[in-house]
Amino acid sequence: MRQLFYNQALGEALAEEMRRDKTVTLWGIDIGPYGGANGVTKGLWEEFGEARVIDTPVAELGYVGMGVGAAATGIRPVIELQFSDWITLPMEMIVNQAAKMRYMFGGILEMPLVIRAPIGGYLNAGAQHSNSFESWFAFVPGIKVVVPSTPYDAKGLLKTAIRDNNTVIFFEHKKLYGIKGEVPEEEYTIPFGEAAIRREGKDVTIVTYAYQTLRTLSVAEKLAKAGIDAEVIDLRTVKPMDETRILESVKKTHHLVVAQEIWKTCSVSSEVAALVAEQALDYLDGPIVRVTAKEAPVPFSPSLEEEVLPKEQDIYDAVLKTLGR
Amino acid sequence: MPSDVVMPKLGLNMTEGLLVEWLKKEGDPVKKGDLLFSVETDKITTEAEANVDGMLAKILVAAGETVPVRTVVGLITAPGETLAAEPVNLTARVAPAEIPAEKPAETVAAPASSQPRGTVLASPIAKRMAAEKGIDLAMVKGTGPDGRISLEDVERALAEGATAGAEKPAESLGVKIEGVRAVIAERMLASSQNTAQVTLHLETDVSAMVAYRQKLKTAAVQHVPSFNAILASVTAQALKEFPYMNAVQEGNVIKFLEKVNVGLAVDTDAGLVVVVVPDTERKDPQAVQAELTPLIERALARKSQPDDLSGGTFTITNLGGFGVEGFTPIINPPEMAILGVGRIIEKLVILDGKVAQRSMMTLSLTFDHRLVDGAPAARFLQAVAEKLAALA
Repeated sequence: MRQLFYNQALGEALAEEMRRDKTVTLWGIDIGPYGGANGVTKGLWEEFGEARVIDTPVAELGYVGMGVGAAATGIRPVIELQFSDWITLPMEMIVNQAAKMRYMFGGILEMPLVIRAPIGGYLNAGAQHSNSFESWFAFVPGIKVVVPSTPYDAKGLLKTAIRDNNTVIFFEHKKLYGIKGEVPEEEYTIPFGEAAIRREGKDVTIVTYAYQTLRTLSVAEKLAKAGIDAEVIDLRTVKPMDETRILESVKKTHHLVVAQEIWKTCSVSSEVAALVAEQALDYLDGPIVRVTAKEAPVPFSPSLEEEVLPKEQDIYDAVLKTLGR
Repeated sequence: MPSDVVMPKLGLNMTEGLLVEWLKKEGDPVKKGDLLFSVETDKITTEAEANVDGMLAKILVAAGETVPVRTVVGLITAPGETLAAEPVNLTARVAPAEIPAEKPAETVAAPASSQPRGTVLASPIAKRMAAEKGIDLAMVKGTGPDGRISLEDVERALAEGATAGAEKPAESLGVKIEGVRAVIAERMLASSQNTAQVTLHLETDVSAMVAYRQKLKTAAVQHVPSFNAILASVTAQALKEFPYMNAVQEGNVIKFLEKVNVGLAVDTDAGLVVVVVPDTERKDPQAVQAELTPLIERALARKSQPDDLSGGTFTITNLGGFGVEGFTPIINPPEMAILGVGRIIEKLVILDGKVAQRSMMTLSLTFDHRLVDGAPAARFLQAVAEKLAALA
């Protein structure tokens, strides 16, 4: 099958949806002739023109706010934030306006807004360029949160996000833009709320998402050499979350590890752990173990960043811990 | 502070006890478990134990006195402690009541790991599996961190046949052997160990007894006797004629008893009790019934008076109501015989050369072969049967 880079797959999703639906427009910094800081929108300005691929000033509150207004009037804006770290600036627009308008105005409008935003560390980019804020948005009713880990998922989930009539925050891990994967040429979409079982196993369930999926799969192979058969579940969407697949897996393996890149408190891993504790406690044969970042800003220094962000060895050790070995 | 030595409550119905004899003197050192004094109730004679180490500092109730249960009869001081240092009231007093004896007994099991009792460390699924399979987790060795029991540990225990009774209920709650149960346990064991018991079975025609009772029932007399009342009355007559069956051993003497007091075994919630009809041989079945009715009512309500249960010289136990045909009852000491009664069953028998339908019943007489031989015991049993057949 055809191989595409993750950023190419995203660009292809945008192009296909723009061809399919004239209301789909792109807004962001340097997404026009430059093609986007991560190359996702390369060629789109040329094909769709400056009316639908709009370069914006460096003013997140402004252009996200305009996007919310546009979405409320029937446009389908796909807004690119150059770094998800700046999502703190338009927070009011997203959390208090986009997420609530449909509800507050009695359903007379839709909010078909997509915000694409690169997340993540392991790039020595410093504390203000290494955040992952997915748990903030999963917390708010009215927002869907997508965290694809493969080129195939990136394309299929972005197409679903654009067609969704609600606010979708689409987080793309910066370490993933350069990875290659199979992407069929035929049309496809991936529904929200369906986790992917990346590796089947019987001894332990490791729930993860985004870049940690790749790291977890690498750990799973090392575990296999030690005779431990891990099942790896990639959430694909943090919200809605595929509770069924998580619970079914834990009922099979009786052990749960949750691996995420960022901080532990009130995070996605908290939610997965609580879900299993609430609904599958009687199936657990060991403690739930979470792998997360240490609770500190992500350092610029490579050696310090390595200490703060979770290592593959941490996932390996977590599995041993829940198995009691 | 000195520890109280109290008159123990040895049975549910015990309200007071006779302090027969002190086995320790004032000033004697005592260890927990040492016998301190002997106590006698209407049901039992036993010894009371010290429950702490120390010295029997003071005797408050002298031998020969009868005092209510929980009365403080003495004081034990800890090593080095002196009574003078403590302003205690040295006159007899009653200790505060203990927590009621009917609290549910805890599961008795030795923990497999070093975890303290009650905190067996096990994973949720291990607990669930153990509950489903009826395994006591305390008996499973945990191989996880801190000895935690995993699903695998339970499965291994199952494979090794940890529980023979996989059907046993999840919660293996037990019942403490105390009160009436403790009295029964001790007396039945003593009976088995100290006597030479033989049981004779005799199937006999009780058509006359059935007809006799029916006749009284039809006549609607007062106190229509139950079969038990009839059997008690008839057996008492036989006992009067065969005094060697109404006897006790005293030292090297077999003492024939003046009185014939037949007891009847009653199944209560608290266990077996034997209610006694005094001077049974002087009472016809109706008179026996008149006494049995309130006796049994009180026993079932667990409100028996001391006299209700004491003074028996011979016991009748009837399992016919459960369809039991014959069995081997155990003698109720110090009595030397007991009569087991089976069910009444209609049978076809040959009578005067003809097939006839008769009401048949099996009598099972257990006697102490130390005191009487088989043939004399059989003669007595035969006499009971004949008297039953002669009822009119």
